[in-house]
Amino acid sequence: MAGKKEPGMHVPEHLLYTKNHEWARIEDGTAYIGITDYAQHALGDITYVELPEEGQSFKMGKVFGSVDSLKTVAELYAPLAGEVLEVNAKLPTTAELVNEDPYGEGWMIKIEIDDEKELEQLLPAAEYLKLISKAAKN
Amino acid sequence: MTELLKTPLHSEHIALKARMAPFAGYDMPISYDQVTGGMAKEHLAVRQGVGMFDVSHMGEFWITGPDATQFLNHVCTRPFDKTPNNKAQYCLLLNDSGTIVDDIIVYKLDSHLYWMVVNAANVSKDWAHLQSHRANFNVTLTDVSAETALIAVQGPRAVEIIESLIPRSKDLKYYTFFQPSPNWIVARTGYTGEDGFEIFLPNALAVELWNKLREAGATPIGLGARDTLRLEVGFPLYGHELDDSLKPLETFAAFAMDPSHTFVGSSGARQSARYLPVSIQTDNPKPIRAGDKLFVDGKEVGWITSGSTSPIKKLGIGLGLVQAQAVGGAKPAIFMLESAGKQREARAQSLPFVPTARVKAKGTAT
Repeated sequence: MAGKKEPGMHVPEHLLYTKNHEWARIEDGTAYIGITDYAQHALGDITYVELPEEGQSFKMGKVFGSVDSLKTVAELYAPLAGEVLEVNAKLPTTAELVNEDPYGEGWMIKIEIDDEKELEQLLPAAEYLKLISKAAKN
Repeated sequence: MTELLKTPLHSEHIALKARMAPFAGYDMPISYDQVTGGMAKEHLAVRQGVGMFDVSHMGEFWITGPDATQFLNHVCTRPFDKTPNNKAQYCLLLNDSGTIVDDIIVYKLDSHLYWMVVNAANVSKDWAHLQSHRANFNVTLTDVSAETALIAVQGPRAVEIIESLIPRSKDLKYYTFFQPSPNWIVARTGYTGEDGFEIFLPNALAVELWNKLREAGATPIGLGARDTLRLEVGFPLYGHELDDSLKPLETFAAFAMDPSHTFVGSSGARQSARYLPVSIQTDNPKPIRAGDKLFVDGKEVGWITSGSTSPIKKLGIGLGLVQAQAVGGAKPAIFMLESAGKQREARAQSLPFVPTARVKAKGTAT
């Protein structure tokens, strides 16, 4: 798999994914959460990210925020249930980080995972890649 | 659904991997993000350097004959008797009742020969409108939209690269034009608020000019950035700020109506305004969206006709309409803006949102 990937098709191996194009990076009972390269590419220029407050809790699949691009707005769905421990403080002033580095500097929230069993419902990288490859062809 | 039309530069857009979308019946480039990095970067390229736009979907008519000037005086919101040759004029076409058929630019070659550029979505409507009013005039109308390409070159560096390709262009003043060869018109006009040119030329020559501009350093710009560029300087867009239900005094194009001129729709157009055009800004970069509702003191008074995030100011900006009666005939200073059921504050902001070299702030709300 050498060479440059198609835009929007970068899917790191070590993350878990949702069908709604969020990712989760699991670290010692916590999860960093953001949106995928596919999602940022589809949205285009992101200008604003609305995030929850620290201390708020969300159930799996519930809306925890939204992303506005010049073209459109998309809701953010919690990949896992949990309490928000931290929000990315850079995003209110530099939302374009989500476009530039969706899996790194563009992370959105860090949560304390309520129930590790929910991890089984998330997609591994290979499956998520299959999902978006199919979508890209249609 | 009928097949989308293609401009003569369509193959260049595909080669540049542009994001394409239907617009006014054409398959048009929205952004060349794989080349430019996206709409915001395209926007900045025009504000700071030079960008080029394929706007060949626009319509073009020749108006010729001994009565060409009188005919245009009759159908346009500004007269042409005193307009010098090689000068262009922005004006409106109105229905009999005074509502807006289209906003257009008319180029005077001489008193018997004019070029008119119209909005792509309105070509057939404008054509029918002009035909319906020509009975008493000795004029010939010719629709050359299908054979005419239009490339806009905009930005502070536009003059340097256009002069290198089309000598004497730099001598043009704002809203003047010349013909470097037959069937070409080079005009110092644009829709971005920057210095720049719009170049009409035969379809067959468009790809060559496009590639020369690209070699000279112009960034290709899609319709996405074209929209944020015009919005930052408050230029109205037909179908949003202007349409068949609105009269000139209810829009940001009121300046294009000569108060002492008589023309089709002029009496209806001078009745008191039912709507007031407003320009508003928020205090964060969440985009304002067309269709958002405007409230004052808890009462819904209007709506947003165009909105976005200003890539320069990084704030939400929008143009809208309020019902004149609902606000006592005066433009409010503070609004609540409602989007998807949530409200946030927005303030009136005088145009342009972003003062450019071409479009300077007037200091007061218009």
